[in-house]
Amino acid sequence: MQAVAATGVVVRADLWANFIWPSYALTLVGLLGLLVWAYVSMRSAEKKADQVKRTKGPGQ
Amino acid sequence: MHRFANPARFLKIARVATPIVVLLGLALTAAGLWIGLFASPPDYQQGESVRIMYVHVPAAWLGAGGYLSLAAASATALIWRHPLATIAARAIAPAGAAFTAICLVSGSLWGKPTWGTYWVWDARLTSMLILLFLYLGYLALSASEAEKGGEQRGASILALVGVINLPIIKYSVEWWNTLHQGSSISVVNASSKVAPELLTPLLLSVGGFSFLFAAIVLMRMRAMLAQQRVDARSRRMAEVLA
Repeated sequence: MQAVAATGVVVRADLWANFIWPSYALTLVGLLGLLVWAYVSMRSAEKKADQVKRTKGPGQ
Repeated sequence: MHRFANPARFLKIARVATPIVVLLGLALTAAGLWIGLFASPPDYQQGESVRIMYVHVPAAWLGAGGYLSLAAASATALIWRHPLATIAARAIAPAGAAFTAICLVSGSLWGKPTWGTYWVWDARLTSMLILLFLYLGYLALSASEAEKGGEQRGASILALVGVINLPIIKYSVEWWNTLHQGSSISVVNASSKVAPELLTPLLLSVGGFSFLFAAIVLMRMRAMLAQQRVDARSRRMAEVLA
């Protein structure tokens, strides 16, 4: 990560000192974790539903 | 509206919409956070810590907005007994709870450099914490009712009762003396006190977070509908075998 103190925009030390990195890290972990959980649960449920649909019941 | 509430039609639309919504969410969130971190200027008063706004504000809006949609879905389920409305409500709850938790944690981290403390029992902070408890209560009650094969009536009523907390959150900064600042953006009047350099990444983040919220809800609804098909098939098999 390139610090750009000369432009006065942002420096790495400021990002740590003001809890900016921890805020972004926690948010991204939470968001991406939720997205992955939703995707995995959807894929496994739909796969199970397809398998059950293909399985022939008694008398079929 | 009822036309789209048909589960088969919903699934057809959701299968096409899900990848588009995920990609839009990731792209807008990445753009918003990148500009917010590296390209937007610091605030004249708060300095660099204002950058927490780009995760805190979208999370707060979606935590509260998510609860409003949870209540609307619950009302639809109670009045019209539409099964898709119950599924929508159950899909919204974990996403809303997660966004509310993100809002509380990022707000707490923003509070330390700005107010000198992680937490105060301020009206805005406390009402947001109550919102998280309402979400958790809804999740626990709906999981319990689903386990018993119930109609989710208790959970739906809890969701509707909890709506009283939304105006309290919104107006807490006006009704009481709070450490939390007043609102800077008015959606109703389409006006903003935020400088355009800061507003652009904020709106990008709000858009990105909103699409991610929608993606999570769509995927959870698809998962629950698939699970319902499995359960229905298992019940039919059990009846035939009995």
